[in-house]
Amino acid sequence: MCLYCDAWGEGMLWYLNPKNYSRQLYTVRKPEAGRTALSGEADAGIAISMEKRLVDAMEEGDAEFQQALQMYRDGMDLTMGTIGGWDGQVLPLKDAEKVVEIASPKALIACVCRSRSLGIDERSKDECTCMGLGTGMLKWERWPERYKGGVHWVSTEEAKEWLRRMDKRGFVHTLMIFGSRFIGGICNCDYPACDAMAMRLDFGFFLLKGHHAAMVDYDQCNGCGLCAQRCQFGALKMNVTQNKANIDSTRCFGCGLCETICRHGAIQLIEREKIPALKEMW
Amino acid sequence: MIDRSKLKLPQAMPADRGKLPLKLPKIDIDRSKCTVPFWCKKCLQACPQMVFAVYCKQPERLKEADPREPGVYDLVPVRRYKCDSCNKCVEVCPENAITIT
Repeated sequence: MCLYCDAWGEGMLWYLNPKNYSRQLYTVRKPEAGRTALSGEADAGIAISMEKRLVDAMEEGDAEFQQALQMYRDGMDLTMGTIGGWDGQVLPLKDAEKVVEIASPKALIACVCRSRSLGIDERSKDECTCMGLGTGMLKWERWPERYKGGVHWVSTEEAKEWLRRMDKRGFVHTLMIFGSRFIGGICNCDYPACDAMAMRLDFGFFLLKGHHAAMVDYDQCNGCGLCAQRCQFGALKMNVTQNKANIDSTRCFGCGLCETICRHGAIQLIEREKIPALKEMW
Repeated sequence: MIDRSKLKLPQAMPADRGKLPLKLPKIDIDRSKCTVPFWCKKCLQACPQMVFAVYCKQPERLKEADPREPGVYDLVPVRRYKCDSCNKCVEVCPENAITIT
């Protein structure tokens, strides 16, 4: 059970707890926050200035950098309602499908990270790589000029089909919270275009690891190497001597991309709880 | 509820990036030359490390913001710590607005 499960799970996985999708949560902000967090591209300017401060501090020294990091995390806690600067979690495909079954309404939206870091303007339903969940999407639909260009509503079946398509392309599914435990979206990320993954892999916060870790069954693996192309976290490599996939489980985030591509069922997602060494590794 | 005192700062940087302070390359963008970065986006897509980012200066009028209109979007070299000074962005910039020192 992760940090979020302890706080908001009430005995189950936090993202399978329907209370975390409640529309009442959407407006709950911490009183000390003052202003509500701007959503979408609107806060790209704020995020950029924060990240710039972080990078500038790297030139100044270790203490300054730690201070800037703490400031970034506190700022995130205040504006996004998160805990300790953790704002999302990696999901395997099967859990992402459960999430779209619970959440309603659902809409495809443009990815703010790719717009920001690559200049990609996703405006049609086929291009969109992010999905907004819950009541916030009604706001995005009503004020398209504020929230980057509107939404494309999808049904549960369409959402699942879209998730499988994204999984085939090789994106990591991440669950995002927006404002105090309200689950607001599923993003499909890759490194380094996406901020969530860049922040986690470069600075060590923002995104929690998933509830699973991948393990290889050497008897089943035939060494085709398809899985090695898909690992975004540098955890999976081919063991050259034996010609089998080899997973560094301390780096594994449990996204399940290697599992979904494997034709021989050689890779399995095992619950983090059941592996003593990974139990506390988030 | 959550005991915030238990939350410790995670390991900030991977070990291979070296000790702080780091000497980072300095990337200057001449704003008078670079006026339509979101429309041009050559440097954004040429950079192998995705150092650059664009953002809209008037987010409250985002949909009407025309990427072809000068001065609406701003280019920032935000992930400077990843720059390896390969100078691809300098070569690709049609306005010669980027300098790396």
